[in-house]
Amino acid sequence: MVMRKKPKLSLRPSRSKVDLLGKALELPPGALGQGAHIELSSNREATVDGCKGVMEYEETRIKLNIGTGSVTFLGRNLEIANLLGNQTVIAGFITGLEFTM
Amino acid sequence: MLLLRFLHFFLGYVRFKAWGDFPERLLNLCAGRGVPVWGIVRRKGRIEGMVYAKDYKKMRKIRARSGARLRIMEKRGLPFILRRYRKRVGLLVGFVLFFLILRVMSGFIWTVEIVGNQRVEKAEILAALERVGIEEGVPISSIDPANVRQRLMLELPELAWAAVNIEGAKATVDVKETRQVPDKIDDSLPCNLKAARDGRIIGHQVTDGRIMVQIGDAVVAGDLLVSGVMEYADGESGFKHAAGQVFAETQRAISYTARYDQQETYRTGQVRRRRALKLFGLEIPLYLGSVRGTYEKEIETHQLAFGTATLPISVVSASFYETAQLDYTLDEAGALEFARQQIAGLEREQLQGAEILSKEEQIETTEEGVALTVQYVCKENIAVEEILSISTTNE
Repeated sequence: MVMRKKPKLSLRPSRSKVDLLGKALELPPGALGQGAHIELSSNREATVDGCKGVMEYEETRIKLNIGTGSVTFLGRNLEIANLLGNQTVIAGFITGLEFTM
Repeated sequence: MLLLRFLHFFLGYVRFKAWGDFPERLLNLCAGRGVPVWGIVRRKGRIEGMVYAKDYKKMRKIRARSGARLRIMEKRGLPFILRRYRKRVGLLVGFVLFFLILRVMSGFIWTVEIVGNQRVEKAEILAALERVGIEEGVPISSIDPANVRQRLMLELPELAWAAVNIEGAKATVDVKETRQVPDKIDDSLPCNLKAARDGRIIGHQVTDGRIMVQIGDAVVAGDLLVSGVMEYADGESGFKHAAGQVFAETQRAISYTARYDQQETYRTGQVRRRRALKLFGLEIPLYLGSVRGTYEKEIETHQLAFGTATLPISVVSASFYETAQLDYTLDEAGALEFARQQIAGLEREQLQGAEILSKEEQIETTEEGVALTVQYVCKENIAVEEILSISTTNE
């Protein structure tokens, strides 16, 4: 009789190998993966690396596709100062950020 | 950021506006095709932004897929400016000529600057430099600074040192002058003090040597006053550098004859000014005609400068003061006064260093004028050094 080993049940979320490698190298989360990198300069400028496209563009709201979801910049007089490849620079008075995954 | 703006200007760019159902799609397609878009703003339901001029054609193709409508609002940058002036050949020729002239002119000396002179006049050094081959307008390639330096020192013996530095189109000549040593007999050489003029000895201050005259003695020019030959008690003799002052009462006379008929040259007040432009040593007159008659000429040169740098352009202003002769006749009193004024001037020159003890005037009136002779009795140092020529003979 062949005894089958029961699969172990774990409460911890599963991690990809890339994430594990990044952690071993003490890199910021998502630096090696597909995740976007967002850099804020005060609340006046945001640089988004890994932007897949502009989903909405209003003066008070700019929504960007970041692959794994979307990020929405809320504020006043918002504009896309630069758009090149997968890098986007958003300028204006940023009052909030919303992530949708 | 400034560099980026310069790059935008240099490459040329257009401001566009896009509108339609979903203009964001146009931006996404541009980003996907590697077309950089910047300065994107949302205004009145449309999107405005900027792209490089060369990328706008690509953008028009992308627009067809996005369904948005697209218009150019403004064209900016150097390519558009050049395109506007492409038919104006003169501008291009001027541009080329500017750089060509700049290149050619930088091969010549524009200005010559003299540094470090005090006694020797700047004009004298400039004239010497001209003789050795440095002046405004000469090709820099023809100058050998070491050779010029040597020749300049030979031309001007008053210079102890000179250096020629060429910076760009400016030649700076740095000079150091020789030190003037007063004529004085070497203190180690034996000498006598002799009388420079006739007189009666009234005092002396001898610091070295043997006094040969007594107070009250009358001496004539050339008499020995202080001897440098010393005779000691043991019969030995030696030589010294006689030094000191020997004061004597001397007689001096100054004469001047003032004629009744006098002539004076004076300026009439008429001034004519002529200007010339000096460019690379070439003088270009800025006037027509010439100045005739008798005149006194004064010249002023203004070198043009740009900040601290002098330019090879100078304005030479010549002022011609018209002169005239005034003939007038003096009476006897006037002629005497005139003679006194002239003698006062001669007195300052000839009796320098002498103390006037008394003076007496002798006036002689002739048909032509008044002859005034002033006899002076002075107190002055009459001692002058005279080197002892010593020849040693073995007998």
